[in-house]
Amino acid sequence: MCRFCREPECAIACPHNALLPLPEGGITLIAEKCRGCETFDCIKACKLEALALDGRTGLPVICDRCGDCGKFCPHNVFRYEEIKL
Amino acid sequence: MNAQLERILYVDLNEKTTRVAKRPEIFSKYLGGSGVASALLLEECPAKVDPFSPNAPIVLATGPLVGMFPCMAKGVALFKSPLTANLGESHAGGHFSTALRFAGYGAIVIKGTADKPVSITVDEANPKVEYASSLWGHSPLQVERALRPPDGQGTHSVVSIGRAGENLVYYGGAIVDRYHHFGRLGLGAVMGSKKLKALHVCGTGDVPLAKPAEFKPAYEEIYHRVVETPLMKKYHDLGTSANVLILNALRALPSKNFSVASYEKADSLSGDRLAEEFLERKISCPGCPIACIHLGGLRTPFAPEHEGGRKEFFEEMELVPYNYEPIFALGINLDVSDPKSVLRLISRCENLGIDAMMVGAVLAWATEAYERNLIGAEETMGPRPAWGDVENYLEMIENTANVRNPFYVALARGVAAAAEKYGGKEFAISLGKNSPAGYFTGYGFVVGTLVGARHSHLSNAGYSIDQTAMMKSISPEEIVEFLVEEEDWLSVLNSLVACYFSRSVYEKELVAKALAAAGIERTVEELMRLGKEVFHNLYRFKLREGFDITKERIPERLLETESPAGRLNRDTIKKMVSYYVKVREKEGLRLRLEERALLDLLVSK
Repeated sequence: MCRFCREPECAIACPHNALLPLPEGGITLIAEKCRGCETFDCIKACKLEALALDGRTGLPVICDRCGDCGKFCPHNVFRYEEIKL
Repeated sequence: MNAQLERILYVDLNEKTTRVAKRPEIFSKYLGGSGVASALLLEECPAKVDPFSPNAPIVLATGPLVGMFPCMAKGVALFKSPLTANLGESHAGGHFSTALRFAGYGAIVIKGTADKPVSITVDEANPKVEYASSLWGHSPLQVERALRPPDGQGTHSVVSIGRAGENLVYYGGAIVDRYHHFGRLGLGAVMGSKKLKALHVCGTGDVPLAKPAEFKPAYEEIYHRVVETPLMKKYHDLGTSANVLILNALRALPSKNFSVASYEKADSLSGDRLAEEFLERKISCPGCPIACIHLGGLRTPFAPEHEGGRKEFFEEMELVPYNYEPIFALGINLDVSDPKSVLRLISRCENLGIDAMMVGAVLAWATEAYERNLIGAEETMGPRPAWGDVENYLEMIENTANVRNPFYVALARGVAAAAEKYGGKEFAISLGKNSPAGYFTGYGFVVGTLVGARHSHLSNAGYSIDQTAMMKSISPEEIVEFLVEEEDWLSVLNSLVACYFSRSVYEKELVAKALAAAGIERTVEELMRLGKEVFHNLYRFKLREGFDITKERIPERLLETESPAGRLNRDTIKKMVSYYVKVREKEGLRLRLEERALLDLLVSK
């Protein structure tokens, strides 16, 4: 899953600047800029293969850090933490 | 693909570009490995360059018999070491050298510094540099899992650094394929300074046989010697951890920071004990029938138990590579006698990508420095280093790899630098700024490590001549002559990238025969001359970068502790070094000796 890189390679790879790096790390999707292109540049760029294309919308699925996974992983692989910026 | 090595991959991290050059002349002269890499280092590395400068190169090389014969699978790395501010040389097993050769390259030269974290993909068709921020901060194991394709064809190898390398710890290493290491002199830190998190080498080609008719008999002879004679049995059975009891019986097993050369609890860390209780798997480099890498199973809790479950079902099994040196450095030398605790310490070092041997030396020094109040809890940020106290040591390793305060900055620069700042030089165990191996066998070991090109016990096998000296009388001059001859010959093996564990298999004539089968005609005399030349090249680099044997110091502790040769005598060591310098000067290698200055040698204060 997304590790919220500081200088995310997916965002660098996108030819349309549709992935906006966030100051706290990670990215957000600017949907109107995304062409849902078939080059899969962003998806191929991520070395952790943390991005996937949503077949219905044609847009990449971006983790928005809701924290739900942290609540439902019994092995504490994910943990929900509030971080002050 | 050509039967002979000739292609070099040049990577420029400033521009994130690669180019390939054919340099058949350099390979036909120096074969490969350390020979080729030393020539490329002299060519590429500006004099007195900062090890972390973009201009400081990393040179990686494979060898001419890789992919053809057993035990020919080492990769060689040459660079400017941050630890010694001089020659950095490190050798690693794993699939690296085989994958590199199968990708059609004899060597890689990496220069520049990337603007963001990157990884390099090395394949025949399309070598490239790519951004890899998502890998930064992760352990070498995690990086390997991410980069190794699940269904990749061909031979793959992943070389990556951990947080120690990212944080420029001077002895941060590069981990190869999970269980092998470019350790010791800080290749990982140099990669970190270049923002180079990993290389992924993918070899899909092959090695055409130059002389098929000669190849098969040569292969059969070598295979027979490897598998059907006892020459390599030790490495297969218990691995080098068999040394624990052997050295203890010789009273050459340094414990508690070299304060005594035996260990009363040696039985609890013996090779037998580890094999019986922890050994899960053994793995080998490509084409090697030995499988010397011993993996111990370490069960650790991965989560708190839930559903009222039983604790032991919430444990995972981690495979930890163990061998003699980390058992010595993190066990015996720190009086950590419980094997599971030693595996935990090794595992922590693996995870952070930090050299286990130097970590042991640094923690041993810190333990004594703490006892003597040279440092306190303020420096250590809490942990109280004490013999055998694994929890404190674990925390300190973490703090060192993450350079958490000025004290840990000093630790991250090695034991000599730490003692320079906080005192206790007399028990800061280093030779040539590197921490010595765990063989306190006598003069050959100390002098050999001091004069060796990479200040390793492996440079010239001084421990081996010491063991001979325990059985028959050998003069100090004869020990020196052995060191010279051994390092010259090992420089040949390093150019082939033969594994040292097979060095009794690869006798000189057999090496010539194996090379002939690969279409490379060399007499034994020519090989010996080549070995000397390669050694001279390495030393030319050392001298150019300011190495001066007369400025080296030997910590007092090494002159106080009883070795099998008795207490080591200062004057004998001086005489041996003087003689070594004379022998090398006769060969035309001027080591800038002043007799007067030699008087200062060995004094720690």
